[in-house]
Amino acid sequence: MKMKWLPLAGTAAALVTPAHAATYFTVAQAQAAMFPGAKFQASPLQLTTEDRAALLAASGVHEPFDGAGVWQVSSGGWFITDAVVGKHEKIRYAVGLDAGGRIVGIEILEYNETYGYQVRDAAWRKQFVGKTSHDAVRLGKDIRNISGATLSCKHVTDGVHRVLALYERRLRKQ
Amino acid sequence: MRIARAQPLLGTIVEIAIDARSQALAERASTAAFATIARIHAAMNAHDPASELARLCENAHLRPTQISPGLRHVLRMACKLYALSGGVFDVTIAARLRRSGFLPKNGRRLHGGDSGDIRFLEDGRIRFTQPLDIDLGGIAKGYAVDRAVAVLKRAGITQGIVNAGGDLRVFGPRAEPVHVRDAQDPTVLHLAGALANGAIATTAGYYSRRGNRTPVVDPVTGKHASLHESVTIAAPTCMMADALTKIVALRGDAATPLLRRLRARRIAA
Repeated sequence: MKMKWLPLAGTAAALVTPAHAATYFTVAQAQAAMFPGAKFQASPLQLTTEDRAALLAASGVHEPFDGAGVWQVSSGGWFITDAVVGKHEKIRYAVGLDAGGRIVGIEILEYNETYGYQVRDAAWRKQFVGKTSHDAVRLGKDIRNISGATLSCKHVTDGVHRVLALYERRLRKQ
Repeated sequence: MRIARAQPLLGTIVEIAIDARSQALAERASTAAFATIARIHAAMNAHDPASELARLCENAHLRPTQISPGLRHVLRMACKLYALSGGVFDVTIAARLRRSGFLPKNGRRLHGGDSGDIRFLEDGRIRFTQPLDIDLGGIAKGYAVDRAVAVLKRAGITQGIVNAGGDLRVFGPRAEPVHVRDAQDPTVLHLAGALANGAIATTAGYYSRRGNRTPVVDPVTGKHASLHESVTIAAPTCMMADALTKIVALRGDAATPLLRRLRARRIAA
């Protein structure tokens, strides 16, 4: 089938959209994808000061780890959600570990670019409603299909290191 | 229903957004697509000394070397683009990238050599006429996106997008909206238009520039492009779009005949 490009006509090409945000698989969907057929038991953790220091040393991630995002998997592994923050982005993601602590999968749950636009008032944002050539583009959490690099996934990599450190420190002996 | 999923791969975040009748079908199809991308990344990663690409570069100047069909296909396309672009697109510039710090050093010291030194033997093996250091960063991401789309189609998906950190391909009867980042302020997005059955890639300096240099190197002068303007190309495949952004970044309007020949076009952002 032939490629078709439909450019935005006239001044609308200069249209600016507000900060990009996208939601992907939910926690339940990510759990099901990583551990088909398994059951999940919420196992929230309270981290000690020493735990936090160890996680920081292992990963370089400063944002406090939310111990609420830990589930024990009926097949013997762990499902852990975490969030990492970059200069202009916040990424919520999930890591699946098998019974031996090996990574079985990493899913991005939510991606938010946190630029100044998000504090702009409702009147400014209203100008974008209906002003596109495509109904599919809405304010909010739609995938924007952006061509142009995202920031590297270094932050997610750091986050995964901290999840692995958490496993070593708090989950492995159980 | 439209289902969107994302995983960290290819050194970026890869999004897959597809129309599917059920969550189960969407999950199966996207799982297969992500797995394909991971395999390609493992094979073609210039940063990983254990990749198939790295092993090729260690051996092919010593003896003809067997490689996978995927890697061979990408190398063939790279050499075709080298010829069509008059040497502007050259995947053997990894040595220069190591010297300027964009790739980790690997202790090899190379002199000269270009894509013209890559030989494709009849039995499928590859030979180099002198030691070469290859970086497929300008083409492999696009290739991975194309293969992911093929996997999704094989799984029965008829409409969707695969987007690997800005190199994206749209498939299916419906055009999908595409945004491009403002080259001067990447926090600003412009809705550029809508694309059906094709790919778009963008090369720009906003996140890769160090000082006044980006990893886009002119093989003729050895100089790094500063890329203060972004280059966005639409082409039938993502591998082509990906590669052509580098050629247009270095040659500008002089690349227009090549774009036309490859049924590609530059998109104004």
